[in-house]
Amino acid sequence: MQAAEIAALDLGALAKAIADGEVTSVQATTVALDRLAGIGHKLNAVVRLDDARALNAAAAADKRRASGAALPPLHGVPLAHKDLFYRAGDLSGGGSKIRENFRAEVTSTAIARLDAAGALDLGRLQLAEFAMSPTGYNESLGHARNPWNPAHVPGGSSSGSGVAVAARLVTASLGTDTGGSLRHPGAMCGLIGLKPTWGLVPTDGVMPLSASLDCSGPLTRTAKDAAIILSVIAARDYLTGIDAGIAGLRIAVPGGYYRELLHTEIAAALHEAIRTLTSLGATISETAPPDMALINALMQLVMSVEAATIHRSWLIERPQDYADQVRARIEPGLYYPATRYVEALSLRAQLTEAWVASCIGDADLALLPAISIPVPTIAATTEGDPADVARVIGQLTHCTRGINYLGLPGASVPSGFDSAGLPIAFQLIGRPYSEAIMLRTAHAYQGATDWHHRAPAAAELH
Amino acid sequence: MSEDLLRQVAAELNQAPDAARRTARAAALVTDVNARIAVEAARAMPFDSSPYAYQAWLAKADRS
Repeated sequence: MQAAEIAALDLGALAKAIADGEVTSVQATTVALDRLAGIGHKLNAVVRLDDARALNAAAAADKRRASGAALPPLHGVPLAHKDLFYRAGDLSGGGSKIRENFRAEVTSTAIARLDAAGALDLGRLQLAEFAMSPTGYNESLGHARNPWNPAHVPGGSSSGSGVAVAARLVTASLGTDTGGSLRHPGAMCGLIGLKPTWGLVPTDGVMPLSASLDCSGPLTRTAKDAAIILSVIAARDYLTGIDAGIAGLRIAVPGGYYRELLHTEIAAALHEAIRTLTSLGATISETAPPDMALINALMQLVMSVEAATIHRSWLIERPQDYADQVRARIEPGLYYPATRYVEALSLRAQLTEAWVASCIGDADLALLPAISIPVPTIAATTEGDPADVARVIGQLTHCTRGINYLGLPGASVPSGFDSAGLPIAFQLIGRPYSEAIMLRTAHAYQGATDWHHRAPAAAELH
Repeated sequence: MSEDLLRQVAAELNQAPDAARRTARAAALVTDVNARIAVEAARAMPFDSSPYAYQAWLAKADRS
């Protein structure tokens, strides 16, 4: 198989090709390393690679296969992850100047589970500074570039993960989501970005931002690939039943707040996605969200207080080593009284129940826009009047950030392209632990559409 | 909410003088967020509540 053919395989297909001996792990790893070093660096998606360790592991994987031993599900498959997943002894910079020389003492459980499933770990990918931006903004390491158009943001904070999967450098990548950081790059790069129910995937050994909101999850091209990764990192089965279809499934479409900023091209793609889901047997109902200003305020308070708590000593000792845009997101957390923080946590269960009752009602899932506006340029999110920049950034998280306070599972699902050629996506939101229904729905949708098969020119597959 | 009060919270309670110099830009957001939650908590948070209730609620929802 030629390099471009290997790069074009999705995770499930590559794992099968390696297991069947059609592609060796060394071949797949060499292709991934070459592409990460070439295309990945051009798009500023890569922080560091460990070629020698990866190729040694690949050779060992090929030897094991040749021995006839039983193989784990991701045997010999090369992956790379957001640079905040720790591996004991390795650097883990968190996209920051402050932690550029930090070496982890532990390996995250999510990474250890991928290791046990046979996956190879090629290195670490770019992210927003301290995982603090929905665009991927990183002043010290440079902004990652959207593979569909490098003048546009790739979405963040798991920016490098989104870029690497969309540009076919790796087939899957772990990222984290505190206010949309898996769903933003998912939506803006044309991928499934799956934020699991809070607590489902262990977050030990992952650089924290806000412990009450942080979730680890996969970015993949297909829902089935997301199910493969989630099955490993959550240690549960999300593959059984994924092909069952969605006949009889009830999908709620909340209006009100979730329609407020909707661009006409996004609205049209959303309408078309609903039509497709209906044609697959789903029934659609309209619902209305509760007071989202309150839920967004709660998310802002919890995130900033928890971030300010862990960043306080650096805010005192090294304030100059933060980008101003990042400091501006952390510092509000210094001002809230402790009573507000405890109230915010204490209200969480009842407000989540209220959101589910209002937005999902008697349906199985809710369908929202992922991003209400077209993917912005890097310039629109970094230059000019700070008020305009803040407005665009706020618009990007309009439909995502509240979900983290609620702790519900959410996934971006690619559903088209805008007139500038940038991806559009919708977002599925479920009740706690309803990832299997979400993945089955996204899988059925992808069976009827081809958005996820389209590759950006930057992937250089032809 | 008084900007001076917030500045004092940053500078004295949090010992973050550099952040305190930038209080002005956070003041409107903090005032709005604080007020919304304070009002809602006074209205809707039961006395028998706990910041750990959410984890217990999630655990009950986990049927797998």
